[in-house]
Amino acid sequence: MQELVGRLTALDPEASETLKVVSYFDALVAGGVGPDSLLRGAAVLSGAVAGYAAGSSSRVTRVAPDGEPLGATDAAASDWPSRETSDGSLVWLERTGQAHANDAMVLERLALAVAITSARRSNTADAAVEVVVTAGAAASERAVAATKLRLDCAPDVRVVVSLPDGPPPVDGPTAVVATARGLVRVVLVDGPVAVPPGVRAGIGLGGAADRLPESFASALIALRLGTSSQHVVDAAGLGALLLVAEAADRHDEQHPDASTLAALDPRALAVLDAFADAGSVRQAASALGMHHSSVQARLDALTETLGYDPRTPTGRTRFALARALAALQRPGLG
Amino acid sequence: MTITTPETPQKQTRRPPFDPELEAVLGILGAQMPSAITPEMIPLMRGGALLEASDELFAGVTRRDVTIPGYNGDEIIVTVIERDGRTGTGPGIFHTHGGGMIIGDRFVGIAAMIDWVLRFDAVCVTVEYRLAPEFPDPFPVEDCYAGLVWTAEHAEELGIDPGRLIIAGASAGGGLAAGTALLARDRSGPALAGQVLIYPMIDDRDESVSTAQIDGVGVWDRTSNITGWSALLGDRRGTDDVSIYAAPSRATDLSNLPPAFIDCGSAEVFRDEDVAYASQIWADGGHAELHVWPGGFHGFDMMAPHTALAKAMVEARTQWVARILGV
Repeated sequence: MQELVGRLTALDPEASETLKVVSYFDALVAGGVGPDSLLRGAAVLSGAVAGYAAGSSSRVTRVAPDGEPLGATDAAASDWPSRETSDGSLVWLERTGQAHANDAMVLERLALAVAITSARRSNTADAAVEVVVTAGAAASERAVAATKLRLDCAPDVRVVVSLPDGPPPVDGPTAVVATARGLVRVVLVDGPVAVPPGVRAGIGLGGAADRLPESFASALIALRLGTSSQHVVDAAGLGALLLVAEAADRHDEQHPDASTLAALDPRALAVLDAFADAGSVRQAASALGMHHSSVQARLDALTETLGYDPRTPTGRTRFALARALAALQRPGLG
Repeated sequence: MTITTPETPQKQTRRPPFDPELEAVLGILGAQMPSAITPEMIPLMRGGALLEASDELFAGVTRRDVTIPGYNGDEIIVTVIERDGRTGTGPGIFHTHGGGMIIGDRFVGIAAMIDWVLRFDAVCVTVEYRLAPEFPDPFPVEDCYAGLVWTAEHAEELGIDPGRLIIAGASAGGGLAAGTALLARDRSGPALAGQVLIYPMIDDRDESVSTAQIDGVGVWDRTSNITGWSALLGDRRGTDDVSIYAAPSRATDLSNLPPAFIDCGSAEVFRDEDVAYASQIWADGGHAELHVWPGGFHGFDMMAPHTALAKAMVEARTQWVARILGV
C-alpha cells in the first residue's frame, strides 16, 4: 500500500496525466474544500512543495507533498514555476531543476480551483452566479442572488456554458462552477446570444431568472452534444431531442446503438454524418469528395454494421438519436 | 420548484459521502485498483507491486528475520524491527498485517509501526502468518498466536518489557489482532497491555448496513470482503461453525480483554462491526476508545496520508498508544 501512496505522490513525470489532475481538482472543488486542501492536492500530485499567497491578505501557505504545513517564504523572489489566479493571488510549485510534465497542468488547475474557492467565500458576483444556477440552493437564496445580479426582472435570461480554461465566450456575469462531470464556465446572458466562432459552448433555454437551474441543465446537455464540427449547440434548437437526451442521461446503461457508433472509425462516421446532413447520397458524396457509388457502397456496408439503414426515414431518426447518445456517452464534458 | 440539474446524482445507494479530499484520491486510486476483488483476482493481487515495502521505509531501523514455530509447530518467519543501535528494554509491538486474509506480507502497514518504533523506542515483531485460501482458518490466527507466544517468551532477549507489550494490526490484521487477543485471554497468556484494532475485519456474516452500503464503491467493498472471508472459512462462512477467534464479532463475551483502540471510516464496510465491537467491550465492562472518521474509506490513512482526515486519524491512534505505553 505504501507503493500506492508513492504513485499518487508523484504522477509519472514522463507522461502527462492530465485527466487525473483535472479530476482530482474537480472533486476537491465540487466538495467545497478550502485552500489548504487544494494546496495539499497540488503538492501530492506534483511531489513538490506547493504554495499560495492570497491576493487579499499577506497570508502565505506552503504544504509539503506529505501534507505537512511549512513556514512562509518569499515566492516572488524565487524562480519557481508560478501562476497568478484571477483574484490576484499567486500559487507556485517549489520545483528546483527540471519541471515535470504535469507541473503546468497542476498549477493551472490549482489556480483555477483557488479562484473558485475564494470567489465562493467572498460573497461576490461569482458566488451569486453559482447560487442562481444551482437547483440545490433554496428558492429564496436564489431570488436574492438574482436581485444582486439585476436579473430578477429579466424575462429572457439564459445560461451559456463553456470549458473552464478559456475566457468567458460572451459578456455577462460569469463564474466557474463544479458539476458532476467537471468544471464549466457559466455566463448569464439576457437575450439572444452570439458565441464567437471556434469556441465550444452550450446555450441553455431562455426564460425568467427563476428558471436558470433548468437553463443550466439544458446548457450542459447542449455543450456535451457539441462535436468538432459543431462547436456551439443551442438547447432551444434541439426540440424534443433535449427531452430525450435528459432522459437518457439519467441512465447508466449505454444504448447499443450509441456504442456501435462509438466503435466506428472516424471515416465511417464522416460518411454517416455527411449523409445525415445532406439528405441524399449524391450531395453527401460531393461534400465528402467521393464518388456517389462508393458512398452508396459504404452506406450498404454500414447498414450491416448498424443493424438499420440510415437512408430510410426511420433509420435517419434512429441514427440522429444514436449520434446524440454517443456524444453524451463521452466522459467528462466531451 | 423541483428541477434536477446534472449535479444531482441520478442513482445511488444511500451511504455516507466520502470526505472531499478522500474522494479526489479515490478518483485516482480507482484507476489503479478495483473496488471489488473476486477470488480469481487473488493471485494477481499477490503479484502486484502495490503491497511491496520499499527500502526507504526502513531508514533508521534495523530488521532481522527469525524462524519460529507456527501453528502445529510448522516453521514461520517473524521480523524484528528496532531503532539502529538500540539497547535496553522498552515497549513491544506485535504486528499482524492486513490484506483481507488473502494477500500481503508482514511488511504491509509497517510504516505506522516503524513510526512507533522510533517514537517510543519500541521493538516491533511482525509475523508472516500463512494466508488463505491455501491455509484456511485456523492457520492465520494460530500462526499469529504462536508469534505472540514466541515474542513474550523471548521478551528479555528482544529488549521488550513484558508489561508493555501491545498487539496491533490493520484490516484483516486488526481482525487477527482481536482474535489473537481473545486466544491469549482464553489460554491465559501471554499478557497484553493493549490491542490496536485499526479498521479491523472481524465479522464474516455480511449482514451489516455498512457492508450493503459499500458495494462496488471505495476500497475493499462488500464483494472483496466476501472473497476474503470465503477464502478463510470456505463453506463455513456465515454459518454457526465459525469460531470467535476467526471472526471476533461473534464473541458474546468481550470481558477481561486488554484495553482496545478501534478506529474506522464512516464510509467503509467494517464501520458497523467495528462500532459494535467497541460497544460490546463497553457492555462487558471493558476499556475501549473508538474513532469513526467521517467520510473515510477503508485504509485511507495509508492510501491518502497527506489528507487532513488521515493526519487526524494517525495522530489519535499514536496518542492512544503513547498513553497505553506510558511514554
